[in-house]
Amino acid sequence: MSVLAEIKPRSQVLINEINGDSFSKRRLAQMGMRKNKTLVVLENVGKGPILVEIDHSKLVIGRKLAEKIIVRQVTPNKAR
Amino acid sequence: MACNLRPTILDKKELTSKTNAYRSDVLLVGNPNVGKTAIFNFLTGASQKVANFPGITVSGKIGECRLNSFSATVMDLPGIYGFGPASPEEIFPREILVKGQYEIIVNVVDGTKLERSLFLTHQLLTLNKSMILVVTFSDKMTEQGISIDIKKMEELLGVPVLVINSFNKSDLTQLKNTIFSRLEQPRLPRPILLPQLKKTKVFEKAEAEIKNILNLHSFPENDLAHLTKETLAYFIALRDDYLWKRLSTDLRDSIERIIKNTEHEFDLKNGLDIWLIEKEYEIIEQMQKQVLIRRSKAGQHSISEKIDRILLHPVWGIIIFITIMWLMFQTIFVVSQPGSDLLDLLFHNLAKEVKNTIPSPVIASFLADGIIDGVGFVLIFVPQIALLFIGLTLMEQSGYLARVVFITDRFMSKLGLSGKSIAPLILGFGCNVSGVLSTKSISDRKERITTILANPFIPCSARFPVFVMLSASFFPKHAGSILTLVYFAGITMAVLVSWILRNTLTRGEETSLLLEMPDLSVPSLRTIFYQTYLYLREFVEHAASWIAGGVIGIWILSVTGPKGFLGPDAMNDAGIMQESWIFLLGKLLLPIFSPLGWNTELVVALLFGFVAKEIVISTLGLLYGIKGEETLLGALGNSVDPISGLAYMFFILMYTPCIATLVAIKNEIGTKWAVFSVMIGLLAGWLVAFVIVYVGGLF
Repeated sequence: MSVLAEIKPRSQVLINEINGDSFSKRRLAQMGMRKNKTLVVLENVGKGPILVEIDHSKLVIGRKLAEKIIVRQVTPNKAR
Repeated sequence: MACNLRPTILDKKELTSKTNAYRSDVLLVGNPNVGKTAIFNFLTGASQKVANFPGITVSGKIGECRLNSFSATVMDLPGIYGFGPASPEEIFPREILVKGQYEIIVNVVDGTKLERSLFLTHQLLTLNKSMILVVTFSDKMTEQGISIDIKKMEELLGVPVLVINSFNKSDLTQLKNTIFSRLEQPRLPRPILLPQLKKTKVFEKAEAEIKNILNLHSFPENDLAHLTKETLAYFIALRDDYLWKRLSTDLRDSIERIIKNTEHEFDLKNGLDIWLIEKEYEIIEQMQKQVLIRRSKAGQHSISEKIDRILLHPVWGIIIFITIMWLMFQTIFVVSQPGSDLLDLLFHNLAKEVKNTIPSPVIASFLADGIIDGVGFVLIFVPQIALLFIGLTLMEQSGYLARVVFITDRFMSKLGLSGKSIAPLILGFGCNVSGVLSTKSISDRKERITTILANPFIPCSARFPVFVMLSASFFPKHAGSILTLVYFAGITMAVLVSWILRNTLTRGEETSLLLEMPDLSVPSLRTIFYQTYLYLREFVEHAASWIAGGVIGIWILSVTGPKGFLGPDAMNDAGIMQESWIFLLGKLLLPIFSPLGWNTELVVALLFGFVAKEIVISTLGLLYGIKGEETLLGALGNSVDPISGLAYMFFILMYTPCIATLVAIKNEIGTKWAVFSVMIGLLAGWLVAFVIVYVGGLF
């Protein structure tokens, strides 16, 4: 288990748990970010936000929020 | 066939206060970036914009659609993802949806993002309104090797389903026909969500109890009476902000208890609302298996993704961004200059002509110096603002603005802001009005207020000539360095003000950046120009009266005094002007500024500068009774010492937004904040000026 903010680009992960403030949790859920959903990390540099792809849409997630999303790595550095 | 009525932008306030006057027949609803607005443009016969940037449209658009002898009103709602908690700007579309003052919902969904799109669809189906489901991006679906079993989907949902490309005319014509036949023969859809949810013990219990308590409190009132109790209970369980706002405190407490009990009884760790959302997605996944046909795996490397590798690069991305902003500035100020100059000349000559032809000097001066100058002052902004909005729309439509948010967020989060604040702050260097107007893209209200209040501290281009002149008169040998210092101070103040506000008045739940990044696309010229036209019309309509009013007000104060009307010559003769109200006001205010070493002339110039900062110079010229900058330089340098002069420059940098900016602030976030903006400007300006004079006096 690790947090989404630590996942290297091009890795595929499975969402395990989403913490954080209630507003963001609900908003993430609305946008399809929910338990057991897989997503691909596209960009993750320095202290900037994380770019992920989920259900063919790309979401920009602020780093603070990404630190509260617990994920399990499925494939490391999936070839694109 | 053509729809000949142009759509008009409605203000949120207007809509909620006169809902009946603005009831519509057709409501366009969908997630952001689904091509909804392109459909709206076709239906209402006016090309507007395809919002590529979430939250950019905060007001609804309405238009008239015609087919043969029939006509229907169409409203385009800002994009939403579903019912539930909302930022303030997202409450409005939900209010419209639940109040039900419309005949038919046209739900637009992105075919390539079906799962997420259907989330909203299922919630809309519970509203018990006639509905049409429009699946867009058929071209991209083909590219990705997916298609939809339309028959199956229609059967499941009980609504007509159309798969279209929003830029294909025959697809859109077909949609228009479907809308009109539905309007003639409304049919209720099959709300599969609620029956499915009711099969679960969790929802069964929560729904029954919420329904009971609503009945006990005889909620809802008339305007929501058309909704079924199931639907109401469901939206309330989802914690929809609009509906929760409508509940009494008692009712809220009772419902909160019901939710807590349910969560406890069924061990719902993430809360009932998240549980409901997850259940809905389960239902959607099952449905998707039945309707979505996947032929092949999608080709992964689209051109958009390749370009993104550079645009989103932490170093190259920033370099490209700075270059683009610089180019935009250059273009705006180089290209708009001749236009503004021409308009300026036009109004100047018109004023002259009026003075020469109208015999009564009072009326002539009122028309020329008051009205024509006032109106002209608004209109010379138009070329600049038009170009600015063309640039902004281009950035927004192409999807580039979302990339800018991504690459700048890491810097902005240090100030308690997000990447969304960067464009407005940078545009402020050109013109604070543009900076303030461009905050429309920020959906978090507190972040938006902060960005707007920080904007006037950014030295706009109108202040540039003032600083050039003043630094040359007070510091002939170091003018360039002083100029740089003032600019740097402006940026520092904007940063400081943002940081202080975010830690005090506009402190909120930390804005966690979360937004969708649309694919890059090339916007159509028509879309850009129409959008610019809409923005411009809004600017002229809203700002004109206020700005012109301010200019006229200043004129009246300049040509009248305790002795009555002084004659129009007051505007050209410093001797007469000394008798005017505005000069007396300057004298009255002098004690506040005398600790800073300023004289009445400087204070009066500040009063004029409230209209527009560039007027400060012409006023000083007039008050010192000299024409031409060369002599003014010397006169100023002789009458005020350099330290007081520097303090004066810093005060001009901060003291208050000009009238145009103030009006923009008032229109965007309200009078209270506009007044506050003036207060912090004056306070910060005076304090900084005082510190400069005090510290300067030590040497």
